[in-house]
Amino acid sequence: MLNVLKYYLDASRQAMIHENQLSFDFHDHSIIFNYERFGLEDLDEDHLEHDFYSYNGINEVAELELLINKNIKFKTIELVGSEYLGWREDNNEIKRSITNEMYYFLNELSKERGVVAESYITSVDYGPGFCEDEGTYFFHIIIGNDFLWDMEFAKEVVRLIKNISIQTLDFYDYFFQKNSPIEDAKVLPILSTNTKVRRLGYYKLLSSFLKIEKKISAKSLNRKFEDYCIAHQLELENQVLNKGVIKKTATGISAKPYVDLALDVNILNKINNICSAGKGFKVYQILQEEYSTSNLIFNLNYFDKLFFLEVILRNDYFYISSLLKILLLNERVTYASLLNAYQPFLIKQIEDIEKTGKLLNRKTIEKLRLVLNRIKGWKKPEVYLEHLLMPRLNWLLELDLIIEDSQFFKMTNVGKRLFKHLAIWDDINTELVVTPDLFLDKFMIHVFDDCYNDSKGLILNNKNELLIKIYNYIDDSFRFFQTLAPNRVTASQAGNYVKYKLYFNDNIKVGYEFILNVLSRKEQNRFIFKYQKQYKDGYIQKK
Amino acid sequence: MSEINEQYKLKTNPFRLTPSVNSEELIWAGFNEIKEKFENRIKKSIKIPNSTLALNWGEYGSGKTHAARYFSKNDVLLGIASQVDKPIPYSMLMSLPKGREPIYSLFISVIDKLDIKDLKEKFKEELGELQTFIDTIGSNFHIQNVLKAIFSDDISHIDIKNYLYGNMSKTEIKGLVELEILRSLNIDDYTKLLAGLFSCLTYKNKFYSCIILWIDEFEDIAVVNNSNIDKINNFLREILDSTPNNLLIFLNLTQSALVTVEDLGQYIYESVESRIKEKINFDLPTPSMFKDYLKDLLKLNRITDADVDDYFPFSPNVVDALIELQGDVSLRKFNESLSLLLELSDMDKKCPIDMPVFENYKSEILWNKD
Repeated sequence: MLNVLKYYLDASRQAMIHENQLSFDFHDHSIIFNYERFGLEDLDEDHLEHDFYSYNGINEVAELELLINKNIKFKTIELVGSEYLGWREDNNEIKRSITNEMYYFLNELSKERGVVAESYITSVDYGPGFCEDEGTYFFHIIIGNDFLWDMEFAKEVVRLIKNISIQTLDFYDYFFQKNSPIEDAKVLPILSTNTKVRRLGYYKLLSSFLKIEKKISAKSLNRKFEDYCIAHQLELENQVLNKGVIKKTATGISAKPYVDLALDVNILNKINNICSAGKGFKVYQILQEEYSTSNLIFNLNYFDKLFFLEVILRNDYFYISSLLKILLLNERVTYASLLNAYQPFLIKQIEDIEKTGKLLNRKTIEKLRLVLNRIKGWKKPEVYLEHLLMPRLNWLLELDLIIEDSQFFKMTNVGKRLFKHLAIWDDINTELVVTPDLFLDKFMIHVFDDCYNDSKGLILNNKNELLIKIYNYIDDSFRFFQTLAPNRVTASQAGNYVKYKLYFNDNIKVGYEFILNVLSRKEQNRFIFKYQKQYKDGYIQKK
Repeated sequence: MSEINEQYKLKTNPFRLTPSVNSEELIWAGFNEIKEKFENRIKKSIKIPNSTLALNWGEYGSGKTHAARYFSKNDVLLGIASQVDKPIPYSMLMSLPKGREPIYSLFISVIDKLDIKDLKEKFKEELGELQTFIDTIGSNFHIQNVLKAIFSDDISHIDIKNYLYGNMSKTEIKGLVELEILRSLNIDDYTKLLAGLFSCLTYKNKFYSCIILWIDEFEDIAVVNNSNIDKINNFLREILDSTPNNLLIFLNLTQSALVTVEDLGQYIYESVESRIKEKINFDLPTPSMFKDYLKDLLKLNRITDADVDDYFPFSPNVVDALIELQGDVSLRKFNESLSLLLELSDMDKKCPIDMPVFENYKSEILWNKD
């Protein structure tokens, strides 16, 4: 016991006792031993403690010895990382990512030991209410008492603390410095899926199908889409990922799960039982000819991946980000263990959102509880979870975020990078992101470029050159997205069109929101831009 | 606004926030291009017998309802008609009905505005010919007989209106046997009856050269239920098909963004879209358009014999500063600001309204800016 504590004392910057905790401070991190005291014995007799509420320095091994000989019992070790939020605004301060640090420790520590954490969470502490405090953002990992006096574990923890080097990316600096959260609507995006919907490639086909059948009755859509897909059945069957095939049926039941999902994610739009391509999907349709030219329907290229990854993150953030977290926490995991782990993990996620979420209103809490109770109430989780996990695992495989290796799922570097971004989003807001829409509006291209292209995309510093390009692409968009109204395009279509064009034609990274901001600038004199927040969209007219 | 006429040389505060319902107060200032577009469209429809569907697009407060009311004024229509030597068009303005039975509501709106007594009088001499003409309208005897009853003297204007409204009891309807009207109207009759009525009203272009139907707030089609989207589209298609001549329908649409679709075009069926002959856009005013409008509006509201500058009581740099500050906004927003500026200046007895006065009220009059 003593030798472990002595090891921590020697390695740390300082040690102290405070309110039943013995903590070792490593600058940004600390190791805390939580203990319980029995009887009424005061520690101040031996000058260990001035009083219960003070921070009392421990400087020598002798003091540690005195402490462990008292009538106390050590319960858990806690690994804590902290970031004082008041320093975020400082330009020179290195921007840390508390969530990524937490997962780094969880991941590394469990590599050879299996699960070491009893629980883990991030939270903000604003200190005692009477003094003004910017707050400190923490992660807490509570480690099971099996590891309390494990010397090898202690060495590993110290080694990890000393070697940690996790940094955010430059384009997030501005948002850390602002030190105010990015708006989160707190609406839990969840998709209901059928186990069949496994091949994103069918949505490439749906795109070309809807170019021919611009408006199609909902009744005949399933059957007609099946007819359209038939030609590609063999192609799919010859793929490694060959599940989720659409076959010809009398009722259209084979295509139905794909069509239903398309409606849920607004790839398809239905008005009065007439279906047509959703407004976002029309941008995909236009650019498909230019950027997604492969005849191999079930191979996704960068453009396909960018588009579908955004659709999935926007519409299914809760399930997909939870799945990514489990996959990251497990070096390699079988489908069977995922089945066991997923339900409790989802429950923990919702409870964490509730526990640490700031400014959650009554309505949101009610909705969260509704989902929570629904998940808790799954009668046969393994049956239900197949519909939930199978499609998502397949999407992650198609998007190169994971690989499957002799029945084990493993996260790829692309997947790890994506995870890192989602964790940084949580850190910007210092709470779990629930609705990522505004993050995607800002960072989608940057995230994609970092994950799939090693951050090789350019950030154009010559603002004039960038503006000219943006204006020209908006001009272009009038050729493709003309609406019934004369001289008018829908802002989301033009904005996304520009976003893709800049990235794939010019290798320039620009967020969708940035493009809309350019249009809102008063100096901009080429277009009229009107935005209606309640519809999250607007329109653009040429002047 | 007691001293407006003395100090400001204006008859009244000319900046209205909503279009007047009093036709005398409805005036057209500036925006000559749009005005001409409407005049030409109406002229064409008066002269050329084809039926036409036209869409009017614009922001909230860009003047669509104002245009509808202005171009429904008798003197304005007479003026346009006289330029092509034709009788006045018969114009009706109604909002898109949002109730359970939108077509019934539209039908009722038309009947409400119909002066049957006057029609019976007008068509008295033509009645024989008109009845022969009615026999050629469609193949529905019931509809033909109801149309004949509207124009003939065999039934009083009160009784036929009661019948059209659906207020007649079964026993009362039995009394219409001689007119060969044997049943009440039902939901399938309204469009056909309206089409027949429009054809009769413009028969030989003797009294009316064409029918102009303005449907305002058509953007509400995005909030009605599926079945009513159907009914409204079918109505438009059917009324245009069944009234081959002399019908001009204007649909006023606000160009709002929508969550799932790019614009309201998604709610208009291809069968209707393909019948759209013209789109008139109410663009946000450019600085020069706005200045012309302002000069015109002030002139039209100026008390006679006032010899003042074009923008009086506003100094020209105030107008420039306001345009600069507002950016691209609808005419209504300009009107709101100017109206407030005028009222506030009047309260504090400050005239003319120069830069110091404007600076003083600036924050108050731009409150609505997003």
